Amino acid sequence: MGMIKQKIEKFISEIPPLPKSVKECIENLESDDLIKAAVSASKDPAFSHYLLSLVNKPIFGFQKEIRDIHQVFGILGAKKAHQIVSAYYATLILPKKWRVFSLNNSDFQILQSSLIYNWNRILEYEEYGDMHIISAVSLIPASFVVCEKIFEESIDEVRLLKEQKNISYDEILYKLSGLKIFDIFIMICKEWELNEKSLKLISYLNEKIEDNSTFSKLAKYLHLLIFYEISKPIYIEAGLNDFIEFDVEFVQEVYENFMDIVENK
Amino acid sequence: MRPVIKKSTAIFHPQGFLDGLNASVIIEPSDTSFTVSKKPKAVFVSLKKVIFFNKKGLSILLDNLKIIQDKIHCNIGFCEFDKKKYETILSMFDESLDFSLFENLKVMSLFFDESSDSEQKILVYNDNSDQKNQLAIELYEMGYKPYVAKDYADFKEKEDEYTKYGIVVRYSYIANAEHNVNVHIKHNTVFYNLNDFIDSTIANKFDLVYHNNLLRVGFKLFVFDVTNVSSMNIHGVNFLAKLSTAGAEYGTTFCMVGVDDKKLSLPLKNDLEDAGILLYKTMEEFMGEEEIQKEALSGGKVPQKSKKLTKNIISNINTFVDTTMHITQMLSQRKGHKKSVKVDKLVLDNDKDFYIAIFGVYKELNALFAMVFQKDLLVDTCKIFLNDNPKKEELDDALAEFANIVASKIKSNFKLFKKDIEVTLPRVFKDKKDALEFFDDRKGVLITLDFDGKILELFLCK
Repeated sequence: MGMIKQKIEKFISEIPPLPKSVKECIENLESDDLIKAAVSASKDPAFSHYLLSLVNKPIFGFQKEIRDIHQVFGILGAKKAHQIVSAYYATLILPKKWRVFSLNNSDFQILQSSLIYNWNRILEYEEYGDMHIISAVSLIPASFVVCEKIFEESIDEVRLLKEQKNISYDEILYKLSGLKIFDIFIMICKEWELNEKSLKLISYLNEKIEDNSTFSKLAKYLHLLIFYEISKPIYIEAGLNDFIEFDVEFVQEVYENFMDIVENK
Repeated sequence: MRPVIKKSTAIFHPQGFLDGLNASVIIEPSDTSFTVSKKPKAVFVSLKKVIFFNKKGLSILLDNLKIIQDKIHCNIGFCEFDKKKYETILSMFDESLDFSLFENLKVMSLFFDESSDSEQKILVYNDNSDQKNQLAIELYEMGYKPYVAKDYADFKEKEDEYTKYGIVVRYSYIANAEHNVNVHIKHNTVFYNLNDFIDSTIANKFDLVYHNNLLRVGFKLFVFDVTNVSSMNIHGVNFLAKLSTAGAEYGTTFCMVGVDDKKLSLPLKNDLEDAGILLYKTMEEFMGEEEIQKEALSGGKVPQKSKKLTKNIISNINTFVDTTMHITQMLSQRKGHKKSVKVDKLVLDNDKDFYIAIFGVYKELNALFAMVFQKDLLVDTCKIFLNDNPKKEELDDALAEFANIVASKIKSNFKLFKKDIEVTLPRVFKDKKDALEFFDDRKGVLITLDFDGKILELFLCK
């Protein structure tokens, strides 16, 4: 078996399980029990600290700082709280130090919050309110971590390779292992027992499936949204801009609506 | 963002959205220095994977491209776009551009890749008749015979045929640009692209150290492309003649392509011919000279003042071996180990086919480094560059790209030890005989690496 495949297997086998408090919190949110969900979160200081720091990002626009974890659930409601809690999953695999991408964990959190904010506007525009589809976006940044972990030891060589050929990290990984970044990401999501609907949306995104379903349309929005975010200067400088290949054709159908949504702040 | 540099063009590939906020980080100062150091003929930004751009974004990119242009006098602009993007750019800049636009890489290669087939069918049309003429003239000067559509109706009539069997130049725009001496290698021929007026200043523009190292690596055919030169004086001609005379020691052939009576007087022509430089009117005429083309692929000894291994070379073997091992492992996904190291001549098994690349190292360390692949390991290692069932030429090109990666990494690894080295572009040998003639009785360190049963031999010599 090739070395990259071994590395992927090792990486997947080392994915930490969801902490009990997070699992309980998610279950309570799915039963629409906000009080119990807040109690579950409050049992885990790292988890509740993360939730507070994320909702207090300026992009969410709360005028006063939210200091109490119970308040988070009260203000956001079950669906958006579920989305924020899902964002915590990605932090379980964050690297101590980023080497492939010049990021730090604070930049990463800003990216998460911006994706969440714009994804919610898209879903509101499309009048789509499924909890698991709302939450799917929260996990997307974990795919950057997948790329980081797989290439961290060979980044110098990969950069030289990219000087010879216009090739994304995703394509390099596929050529070397037969797997794409989102294939590995889906494996991780399965380890975390992610809901089928979220997985289906990520599969549509991964395979760029074109049919008349809502999943296809949302996958197009999501592909465009990812590139909207990683076209920001900080993420171009971080080297995130070509972690996967942008498919201009795939997103044409939703492009005009997307621009209306994100430009009308 | 680093550009991809191929066949003397450098292309930046941004993705997604391009505006005034992010354009300034696409070509950063370190990317500018990197690009300048590679001296490409053209530096472009691809818009293929850009869905949104605005004037501010393009203008910032152009400012950065112009910094590169000022230093190496290259062509600049945008490439890989559709009709809509082309028209948007034209209207953004009021249809008067000081940069070029090439709709796809095929069209772009017509203008910057001398080895592009001059017999290919080309259809040229542009709504702006000045541009149509400029594109056509440039293509004629490059040795092509494009069909220039008289009007839109004529273009539409021919479009299908040329789309199917040739190249259509429809949404491209060419800006006049000055050039400097830049170099690229294709099919083992070194092309120097000369521009403007050639006088004594060429001595300052020409990288003599680099040229001498190309001779050391064993390149046999050098071409001065003077297609874009307006005229030459005695000082410029003397400089080129001296290069040719000095190259005789290495058995090299020098040619000059794009010669006509306007740019070169009869006495100067005679001077060049006396120095052994073969003169051609067009690239097409040059490419048609089979004997000369064979010259590029011929082997033969390269005279060496001393062929003895030095302590300096031997003490640096590990950097060469470890770097090559690491990159080969990563790309082939095969585990490698060192099987043997000995001082010997390069011996190649008669029954097997080999793919061999070499590059020269100079400055603080003078050495030649060769990599000897068998086909199956080369295909495995270079799969990122290759399509299924690659032809011999594709394998040779992939090997050159691999050798470039190894050479760059070796250079940066030496830098870690505060050792300043430079590397030449790699040369790929035509075949086993060609390589053996080159290495002759030269002794070096022969390292055998084993990648899960597939052998890669490295040869480091003076």
